Amino acid sequence: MNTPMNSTPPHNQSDTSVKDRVFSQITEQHVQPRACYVYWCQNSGMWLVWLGTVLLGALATAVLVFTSTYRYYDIYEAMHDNFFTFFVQALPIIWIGAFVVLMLVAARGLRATRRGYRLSPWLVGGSSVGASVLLGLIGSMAGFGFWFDQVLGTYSPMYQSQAEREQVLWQNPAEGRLIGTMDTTAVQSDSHITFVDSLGVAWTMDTSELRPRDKELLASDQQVRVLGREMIAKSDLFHACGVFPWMLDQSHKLKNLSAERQTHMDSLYQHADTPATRLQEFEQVAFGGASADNEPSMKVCAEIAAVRRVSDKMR
Amino acid sequence: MPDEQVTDEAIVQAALTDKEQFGVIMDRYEAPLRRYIGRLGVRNVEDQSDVLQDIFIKVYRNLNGFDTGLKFSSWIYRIAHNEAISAYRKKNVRPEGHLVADSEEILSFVVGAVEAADVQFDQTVNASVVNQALLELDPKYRQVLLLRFFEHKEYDEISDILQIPTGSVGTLIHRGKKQLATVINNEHIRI
Repeated sequence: MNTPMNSTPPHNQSDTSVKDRVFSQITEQHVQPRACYVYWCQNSGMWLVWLGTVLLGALATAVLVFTSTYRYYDIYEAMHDNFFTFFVQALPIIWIGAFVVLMLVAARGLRATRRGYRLSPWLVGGSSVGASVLLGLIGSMAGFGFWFDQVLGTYSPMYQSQAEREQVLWQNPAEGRLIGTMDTTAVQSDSHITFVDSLGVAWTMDTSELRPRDKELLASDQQVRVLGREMIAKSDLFHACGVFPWMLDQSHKLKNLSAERQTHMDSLYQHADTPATRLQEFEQVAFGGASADNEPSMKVCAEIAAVRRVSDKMR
Repeated sequence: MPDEQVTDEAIVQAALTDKEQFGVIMDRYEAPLRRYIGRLGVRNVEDQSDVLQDIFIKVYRNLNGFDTGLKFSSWIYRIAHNEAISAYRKKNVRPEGHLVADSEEILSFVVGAVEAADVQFDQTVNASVVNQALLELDPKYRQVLLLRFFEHKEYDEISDILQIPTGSVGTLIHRGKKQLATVINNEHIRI
């Protein structure tokens, strides 16, 4: 029953009329209290939003750790002129962005739970970020970062996995980088082999400056990365200076990655030392009577960009 | 047991099975809520009645959503607050509350806020000046000052009504009092 009201009704009259109007509406519109489960579902839903976004945030963290670690393995000296260009390229911006967005959603979800508004912003943000980072680190150690990156790369055309990114970075003969496998069926000589890159192009690879370990890796039949120089004079000749395992076939522990990085660096340092060694050898030939067969030529590897960068750092 | 002695929470439980019991809730809260939404800016008496009707219907519909960990008054004030805000947003008008009560009390609190600046209140300051100054405050400050000094709510109750952390309530009240003092000073009133 709606009672018309004048502009300044006596208070009691106003009270009565509102009460009547409310009961009238309840009766006419069959207004009923909503069921308990509606509120339970709402509250649980908000907790689920929080939990879901925290778990996704953990996955983002795991991939962040994985991609950062693998880019750390790809020592920037081999590919970049300075640390800044490396840092900009290596920064997994997409995952950092995803993490930030997820944390904002998680915080909103937690605030929207029944008593969430009582929590301080620091607690809301801190618990979401803390839980995601902790779970992400655990997930990263368990190999989830590698797995999720692979899955996304496989099923999402929009996403470039770390393996695909590395493939693009290393399949660049003009820049002195190749990725592929040795063709063991077409051995040419002790110092030359046939190498098939990831695009299927066959190269004659000069292995004269490779260390025994590099040659073992080449002969392993596994996909490897080769650092060297494409010889302009002969279009299919690639002079190899270092061979590195393809580390993106499975998840590796940080310890293994660090060991590989050290090996990589040692190899570059060794080539960086070569000019001085060569000079001594020339002097031996000129004044010490070395045989013509052992006459050294200036080595290619000492001149490649990665080695030059290392040399500059040594100075 | 007389109605006055029965707790709100017990009446809520009873109202879930007997809607007539909901009348007791309305009897208890209509006057304070009418005053509160008036202070929030719903001035017209007819509008107040409409908003009150919406508030009570919403309360009735959501009785099962009442969190027994809260005070019922906080919960019903929260609903009233949200309805009043959306009512004057719908009308697209600036709140024009008439903060007629307890202005002297808030004056004394504002004195406390500005004492450090060696400012003294002139006891002759008109309550209407404070009311006018309150209307010029940022809504977030006005809302907490209203609840604290006009509705006499505790910090945790204000936290539950406005759905903000208790710590933020303290901060908003502190800043609100400072801003109020500034507004009054800017109005060239010696305090």
